[in-house]
Amino acid sequence: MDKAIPLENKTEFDESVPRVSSLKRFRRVLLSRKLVVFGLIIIVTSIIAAVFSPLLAPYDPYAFSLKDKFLSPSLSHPLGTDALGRDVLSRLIYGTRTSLIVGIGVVGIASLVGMSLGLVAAYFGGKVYTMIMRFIDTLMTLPMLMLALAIASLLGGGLRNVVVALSIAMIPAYARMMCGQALSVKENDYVRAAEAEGASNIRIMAQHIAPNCFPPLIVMMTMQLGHAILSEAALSFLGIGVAPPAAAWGAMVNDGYKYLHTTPYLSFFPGIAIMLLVFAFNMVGDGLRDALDPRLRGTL
Amino acid sequence: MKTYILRRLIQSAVVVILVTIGVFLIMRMLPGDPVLLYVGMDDVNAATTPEEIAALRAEFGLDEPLLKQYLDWIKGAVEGDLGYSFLLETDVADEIKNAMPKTLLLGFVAFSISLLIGIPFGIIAAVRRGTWIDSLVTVLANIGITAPIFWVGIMLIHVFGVKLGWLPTQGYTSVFDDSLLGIKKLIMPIICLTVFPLSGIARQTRSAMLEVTKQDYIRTAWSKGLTEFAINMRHAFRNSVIPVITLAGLQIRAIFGGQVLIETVFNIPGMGRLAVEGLQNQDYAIVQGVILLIALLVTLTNLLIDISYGFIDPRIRYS
Repeated sequence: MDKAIPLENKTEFDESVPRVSSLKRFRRVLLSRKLVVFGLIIIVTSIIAAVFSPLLAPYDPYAFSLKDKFLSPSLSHPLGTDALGRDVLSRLIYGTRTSLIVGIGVVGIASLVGMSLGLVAAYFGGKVYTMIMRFIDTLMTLPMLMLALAIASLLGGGLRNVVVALSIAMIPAYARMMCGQALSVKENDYVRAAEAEGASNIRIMAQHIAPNCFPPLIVMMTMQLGHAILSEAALSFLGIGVAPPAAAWGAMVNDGYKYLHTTPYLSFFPGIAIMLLVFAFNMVGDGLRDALDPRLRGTL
Repeated sequence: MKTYILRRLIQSAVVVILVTIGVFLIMRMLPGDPVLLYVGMDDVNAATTPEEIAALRAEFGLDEPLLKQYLDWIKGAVEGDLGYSFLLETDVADEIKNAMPKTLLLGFVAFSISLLIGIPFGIIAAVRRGTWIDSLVTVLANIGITAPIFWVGIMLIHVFGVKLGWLPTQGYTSVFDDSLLGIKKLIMPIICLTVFPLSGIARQTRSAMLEVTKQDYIRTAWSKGLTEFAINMRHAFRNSVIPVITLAGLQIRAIFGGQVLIETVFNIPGMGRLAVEGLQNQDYAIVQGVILLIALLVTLTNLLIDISYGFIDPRIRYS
């Protein structure tokens, strides 16, 4: 009988605080800002464009016809054609694939490796910490773009190698963030309790520390999607990246640069596409930060 | 404090050594044989025999074990000799001596402008939160961190170089040789290099200020009847300067990265372009030299920034 009363009270307590509220609040804060909604729309549109490129593109992005080169924007070619007579709009649509694959691939690999390194460094401390963090410092000594450039030159071009190069260049940011987070999370009592229970190191790291480090890292991953897309564009602008006939926005800007005097819009449109997509990820990242962190709500 | 500086110095030295090892190994693993490239470049040497190639290899020390090559490179670097570039047929040190002032000038001016404009605008946006000026600064800063700077450069060239014809679009002229032309040629590259760090610093200043203005001591300052200016500058800004400096340190690295692109777009013979061309031509002596110097510069600025925290904010204790 004694036990029944607190149980009843507990149920009452649970009812007075609806459990969905945090999710609702998250959604409300996230969608309350127009720019975040705008960003989400751009992202969803890009994903659709990437997945359904063959259906949406009015022309074959690789088919060149020299008699149609440098056509100005018109009804049949809304964004004109390039130096080889390829339809710019179709190439932009196919370019969405490159950008999104690179963005998602790079953030996926870099966050997985970086977060693991940061977690291990913070958890074990001592020599392990010094070794990992010195390695991270070394990677951070060079400008990200220069590091990616050097690694991409070593591996050779191609989509996969660009993803690997950018991933390595982006590991430090995740490792540092995760390390900082994990250092404070591991001092919590529930980690001590797990240790006392005899849980394995991996179990403590994966089940007790990592999940509690995630919110700021999720924001960072969203922001880094944009950053990775921007960096891929820079690499392909420098001619290191996706192999030539394939469509990449950065390479399109560079192609257009050669004909800037006569057809400036060839460089203009892909640049706008890069900006829109990166802007969208940044805005959603900002929105997520506000939605995940009540203390920071509305500050940026 | 002294032990902290000493420890950071040792750390930095370790990092620089690790960078040199990493760069050296990457350059040796690059596809392509520099000697064959060198031989292939020259028609006179087209019919080189394997013996001659071996002789060339020996001349440049490329037949030595890797460790010895590495140590020779480091020994030379300490003495100011960074090796010889096959492709440019010059000493790497001379090449870098020519390129470095251009890169440093561009980077320094861009960095200073970013701070001088970014910080005040961040403060204004925070102080006038929710007004049109805040919206303007925030929107511009958010666009600024998303714009691909090589694209910004190309668009500037199109508008101010091609259409309006106000500014020269290519190359570099020393301001000592021809001041007006020199400055004109710097304007567009510097604008491009400024866009990203300026926007980042403005954003960071704004959010750091907004964090601080929520604190109790700011309310106290208001209730004491201090002027708005005194509160914002003496109390709020001074307490939000640390995250701004942290970001500024990162932006130095980003500016060096941006120069790779901007020197390519504007055809400026600086370190960034040297690195890109070196990588494209597998001219690893050049790339090694450039990366070594940039690593040194970045490490040095990081060190200075870390040490400066203690002077800027006496509450920070080094452990």
